[in-house]
Amino acid sequence: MSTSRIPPILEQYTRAPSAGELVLLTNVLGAGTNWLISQFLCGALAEDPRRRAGGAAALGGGHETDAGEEEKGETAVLLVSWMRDLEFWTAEGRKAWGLDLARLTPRKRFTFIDGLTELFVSPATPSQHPNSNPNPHPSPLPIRSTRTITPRGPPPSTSSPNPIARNPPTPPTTSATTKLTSPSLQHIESTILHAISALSTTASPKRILLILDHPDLLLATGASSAAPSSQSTQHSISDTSTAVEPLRAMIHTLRQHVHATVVSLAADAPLANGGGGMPLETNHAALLAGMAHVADLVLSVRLLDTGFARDVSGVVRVSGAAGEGEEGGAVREVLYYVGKDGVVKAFERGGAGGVGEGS
Amino acid sequence: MAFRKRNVGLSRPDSTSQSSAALEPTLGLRPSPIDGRPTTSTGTPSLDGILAGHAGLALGSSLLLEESGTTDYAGMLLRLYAAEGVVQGHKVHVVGVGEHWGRELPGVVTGRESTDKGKRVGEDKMKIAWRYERLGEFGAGREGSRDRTPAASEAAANNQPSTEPPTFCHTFDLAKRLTLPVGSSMHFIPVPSTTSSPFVSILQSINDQLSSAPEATIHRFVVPSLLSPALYPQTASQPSHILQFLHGLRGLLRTYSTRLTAVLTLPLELYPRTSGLVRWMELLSDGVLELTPFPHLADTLSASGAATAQEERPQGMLKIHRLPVFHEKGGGGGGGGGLGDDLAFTASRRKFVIAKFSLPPVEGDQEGQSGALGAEGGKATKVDIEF
Repeated sequence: MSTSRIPPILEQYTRAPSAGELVLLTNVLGAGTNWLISQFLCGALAEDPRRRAGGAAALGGGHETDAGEEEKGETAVLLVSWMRDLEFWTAEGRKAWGLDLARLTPRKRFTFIDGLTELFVSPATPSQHPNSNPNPHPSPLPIRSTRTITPRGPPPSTSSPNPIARNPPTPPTTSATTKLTSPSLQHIESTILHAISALSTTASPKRILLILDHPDLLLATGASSAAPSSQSTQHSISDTSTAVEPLRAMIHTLRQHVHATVVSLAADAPLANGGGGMPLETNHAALLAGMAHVADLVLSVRLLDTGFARDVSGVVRVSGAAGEGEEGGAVREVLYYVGKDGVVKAFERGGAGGVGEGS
Repeated sequence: MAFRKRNVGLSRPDSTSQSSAALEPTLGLRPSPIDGRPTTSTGTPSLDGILAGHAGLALGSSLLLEESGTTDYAGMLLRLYAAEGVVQGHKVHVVGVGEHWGRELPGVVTGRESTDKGKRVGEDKMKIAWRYERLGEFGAGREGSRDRTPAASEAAANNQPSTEPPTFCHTFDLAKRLTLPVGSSMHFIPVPSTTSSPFVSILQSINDQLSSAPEATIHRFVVPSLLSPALYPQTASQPSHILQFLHGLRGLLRTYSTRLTAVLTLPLELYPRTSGLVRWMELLSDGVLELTPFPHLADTLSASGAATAQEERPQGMLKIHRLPVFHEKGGGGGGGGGLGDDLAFTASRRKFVIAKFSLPPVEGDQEGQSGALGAEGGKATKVDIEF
């Protein structure tokens, strides 16, 4: 039964966010939100391949009605990750969720924007070694070779905001993955907008789920206020508004172009409290609080307060869910466990008997 | 006796492993028993053992060792990591310190050199421990493999000489000096004293090295005492500098995810964990371990090299905040070996052991307890385990 790997308790939150919704995921050191992001990926993408593959088969019959009412367009996911690379997400999606992200990419269901590998490191100059290909990976993962579609490709009938801003990053267009090569917000915003317009063309409109994995890194590295010319900011950012506001404005702008948005931020105590008085901390606290106020749903992941347990990874605190399920807007806490096989189980506090229900 | 002689033949001298490094590209690597990803040794068997069951540091991941106080146990782990890399023929990149650091790496213990009988017994014990470590990791899975079962170690000792796999983790002796090979595989990257970010050129240097090196070379990136004022200019600790560096390093680790590992040490005395900067540094690292040494008596420190009855006394606590791969996937509760346990480390001349910490049996009052651990050590112990 590989129908849905999402634990039933969490499914109402992670599956198909409504239009315009902003979901905020917060994590702490030791309790990450990667598995939650994978759930959003799965919730948006996993059902459709089954429907497509088995559409002609007997399986398709029961789902035709679902497909009918969502005729407007299928869901596509645009994942922008500043902390993890595509290989990680591919492995996660494949192992735990049975997703084949590499196959979904050419079908314009999934686009990954890499904010990790070349954000601060200029790509290696083509080396003089004759045997070294531009792909530095000797690992025989087939994903790289099969991914050929770039969002940059022929801009289809869209008045894309400003392709000129994509001027400097000529190297990434040669590779398969879109990479953010400059920490300037203009570059990032235009890249993401470009990817959005490439995903959802007028010919085939899609509902795009935008997932931003740790955009707070831009704040922490001082990138959001740094000049695009990588002029290092000698003076640390003192004014909260000048540092946080551009980033918040960028997220706001991006939200207007997509169906729903999922943002993950770090919420460790030193960062969330902002008590240290350092600009890094106050800025982060300001961003976090601001996003939490705007968000329609907040899923906070943290470690168990009572120490370690063999069968519990941590706690998800669900707040701000307005009237979705039976309890409207109530704060709810759910324990979760990520197994060695990557399968997530979620259960109520004290309801350890229902551990197996997630599989 | 026969057993010992075979053992002597087993542990190869330095030069052999160096020459074979060129022929055998995967020397010092082995697949993780969990998911088969290549791992390499940190040079410390018990540190390999607590890395979430992977029995080694997964390639493409980094480890941040934090240490409070003025001791340098993290530096010892770092030297062992670098020395293991040199012995295995990996390319070792060291940031910030000069070549004297490389000359002070601990030397490999070979069977021939240990003439002292007592030492040799200790070494045999160590070897059984590793071998069982390896078997135990494959077999036992989630339980830590530090517990030594006589039957299993016996079996390991019997099996080992026949198969003879290349050594994954060597034994080092702090009292010896590693003889660096002629074409030294250590590469020292100085910290430039520019007013702008000193890390830009460091990242560029390591990037150039990696992109120009042959694909089969395994690289180790060693950063001793990150942000220490003795090595780095004052501006280095600005978030925009250090965090950009760590993010870039993380990107490099992912780009070269089958060739590069990194270990960094951070003095917590200057950069406390309660600051947002350090938290971001931890978030950008794959593994975070915190060493909290006990304030020890002077005689204990001086006797620690003797490796006698004193060696059971731990020198500090070790806390795991994050483990490579394991926490990226979501953490599996306390499933990783040692995660959630109170861990203590014991450093001696020949080994650095991380083991589960336990107080001696409490005989009612606290005087007896502190007496068993030594006057001040006991007190510090009680304070330290109550986090």
